[in-house]
Amino acid sequence: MAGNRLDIYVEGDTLLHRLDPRTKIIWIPIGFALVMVVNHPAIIAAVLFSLIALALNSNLPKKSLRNVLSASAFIFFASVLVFPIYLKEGPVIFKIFGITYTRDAFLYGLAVGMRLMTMTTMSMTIITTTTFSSTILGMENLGLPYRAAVGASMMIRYLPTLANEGNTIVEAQKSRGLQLEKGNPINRARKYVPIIIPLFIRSFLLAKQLGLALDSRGFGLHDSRTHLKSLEYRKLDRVFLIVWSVALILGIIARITGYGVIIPGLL
Amino acid sequence: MEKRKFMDEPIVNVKDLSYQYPSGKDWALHNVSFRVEEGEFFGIVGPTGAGKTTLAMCLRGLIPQNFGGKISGSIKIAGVGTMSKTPGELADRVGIVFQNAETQAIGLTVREDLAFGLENMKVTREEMQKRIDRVSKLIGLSEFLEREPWALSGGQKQKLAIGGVLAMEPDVLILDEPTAELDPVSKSSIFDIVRRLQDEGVTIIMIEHEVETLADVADRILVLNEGEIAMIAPPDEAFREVSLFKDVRERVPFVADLMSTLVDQGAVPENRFTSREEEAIAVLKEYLEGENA
Amino acid sequence: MPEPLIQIRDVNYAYTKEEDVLHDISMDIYPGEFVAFVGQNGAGKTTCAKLMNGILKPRTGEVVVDGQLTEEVAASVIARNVGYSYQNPDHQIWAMKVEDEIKFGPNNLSFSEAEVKEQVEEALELANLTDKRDEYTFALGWGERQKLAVASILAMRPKIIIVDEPTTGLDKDGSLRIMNLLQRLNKKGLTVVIITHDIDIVAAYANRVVVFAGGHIVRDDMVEEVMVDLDALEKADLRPPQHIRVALALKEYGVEVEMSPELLRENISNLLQKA
Repeated sequence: MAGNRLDIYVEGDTLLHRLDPRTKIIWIPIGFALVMVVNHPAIIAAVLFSLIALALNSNLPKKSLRNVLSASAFIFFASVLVFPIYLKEGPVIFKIFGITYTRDAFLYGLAVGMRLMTMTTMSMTIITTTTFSSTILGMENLGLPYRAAVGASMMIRYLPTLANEGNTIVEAQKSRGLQLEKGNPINRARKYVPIIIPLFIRSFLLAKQLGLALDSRGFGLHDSRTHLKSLEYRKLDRVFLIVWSVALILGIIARITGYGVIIPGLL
Repeated sequence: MEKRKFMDEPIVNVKDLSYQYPSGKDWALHNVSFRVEEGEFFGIVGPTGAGKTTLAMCLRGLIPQNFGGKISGSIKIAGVGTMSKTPGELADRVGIVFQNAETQAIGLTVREDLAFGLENMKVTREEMQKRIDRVSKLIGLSEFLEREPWALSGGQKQKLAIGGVLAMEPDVLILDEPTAELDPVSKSSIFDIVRRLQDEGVTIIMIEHEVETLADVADRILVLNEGEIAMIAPPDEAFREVSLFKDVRERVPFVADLMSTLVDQGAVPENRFTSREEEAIAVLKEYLEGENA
Repeated sequence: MPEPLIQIRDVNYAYTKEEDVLHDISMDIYPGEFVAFVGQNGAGKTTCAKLMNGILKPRTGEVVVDGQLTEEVAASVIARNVGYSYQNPDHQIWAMKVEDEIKFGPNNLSFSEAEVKEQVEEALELANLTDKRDEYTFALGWGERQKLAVASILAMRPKIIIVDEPTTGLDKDGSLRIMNLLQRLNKKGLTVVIITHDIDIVAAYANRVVVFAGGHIVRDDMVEEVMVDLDALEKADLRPPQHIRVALALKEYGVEVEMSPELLRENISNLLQKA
């Protein structure tokens, strides 16, 4: 696992770090809805840039931001180039390879491309400013049953353990002459059987032991539990959510009145 | 730590305990009866398959609750019968530490793990913080509270496991071969913690193969073989019976074997028998000096 | 003087870019030896062992197995010469039946069908598993799975076998069985290396001990020398077994250190009977 942490949390005391995890959880559908409800590139660009600003503010390593943006860049370009093949609204801007590029189709492509970049940037910033523990605590607070919350943290907690088990098994079988790299794809797939079976069995056994440990620590004793950490909504959270909710409402109005859409009738 | 005083009843009272696993043909435990007094350090030894872990699970209320099978007899921990309660309901009376340190680490950080049991028991936040503070110092992990469990060494994980259980403040602590998978340094730091708990008056039941350590710290030792009790006695009495241990196929400390031979040969009187290393060396020095004089 | 089976020359190893886990390690393993690697977790003994079968390649320095540099060969090929039995048999066992499990190793190497059959038979016999050949592997007890893991490596007929923690989780009987198996094999010519925390079996079975501490070798010598080298053992946070501690404490009274507890007991008994 990279660095000292299991998740990709980056330390910091930025705006996003100071938000309650519940705020960030609620923000996701609002933000996503906002960029889905309009398809005008200018509006989406505004949202994207504010997200990039938030991301830069939140200690997210610039390299990670660049990676996220360039990963979605491929789809961005695909979007810009492909939509005009099928959409012909608006004045023609140029012709290339026999395909007529109209202004509105091009702008639409821009909008859809930027949507994806916005959503990935948003997810990335949330993930790097919120620890798994607080996310799970937030969800539990918002109504996730406590057993599911514990289940979720178990999955996360045991990922590196299972990865280690897998590595050890691979080493052990290699030491018995197993050559994973040789052979055609079908043979190679079969060679993984001596790895998958022990891994399965070990996972089973670990799960059993874990079950005993959980029961011995009182898991399920009551229908809910108290929490060591407390969550508090602060003014920052309220303001943040209000700003984004208002933006969403404006977006909806823009859609209805036609200003927020470059091509009405299309998502 | 608040202690309940069980003046008239032993803190662990097992009567005619018999248990058969659902898939088992034989009785894993057969008519096992014994008592443990409050504050005692009670060791359990025996070969693999003797039923030691089964017994530990019964004491903790995991058998028959999590395993099914046929059970008869009674187990009372701190006055409460275990068979009619869920493991969670017994958590503040009896706790167990298993051999595998990895699968006992539940929280995403050391602090969260120590809190886990307390959250389940709906302990208040203030009380939680107090207990976590106390326990983390006791197990020597107070500097590691934000560490993630996978980043801990085997010994640290096991200390964390002990801490997680202690935080629930059980009257009786069961340890099932807690050091089996650890290196010597980790082994001794776990034994140090256990000794510290003994000094604090915690009742300890420990399954161990390290008979040398048990000879030093245990008040009494139960020898289990094929589901039945072969012997219960203080270490010196128990380890004196070298041939019993041979039959049962369990180890005795070297000094116990040695002193036993010497006493049988008449080279050393019976009342000088000991199963403890330091004492044995002192006794031997005396008698060897006598030889050289 | 026979050629060493394994030569390690000035090897350094690190798992990450940060700290070296092994510093300037050099050692030769000769045919017929029964070597024990001891030391705390993280001292480098397992890392060193994994360099010996090519699972890990040295960062600097070289590891030569049977005349070949391990860097140039895949671990699965080095397995022909160096067998490695992992600490937990459940990390190896995957077949349904005992016999199939033992067949796996030799089948991966270029043996003929007849050879595989013969080697499997022999491995079953050596490990006393012949009458269990048709049993389900997962129905075996821990001690037997431990033996099965070792038998599966033996069937590959390596020149040397490395066993990681042969006695962990085993009681007195189980430990004796596996160690006696390794001893029998060693007497027949198989070179044995064990990695262990159990200092009692080191004294009872090994003829050479390599003590690891902090990524260095602090002592590499005959067992009789190492078991009484309290300084070297202390550097590795180790102590000799109880019987040797007792012997050392009574040396001035004419007690001689013995690797065998039984001999030591006789020794002391004789001394006290001289009256």
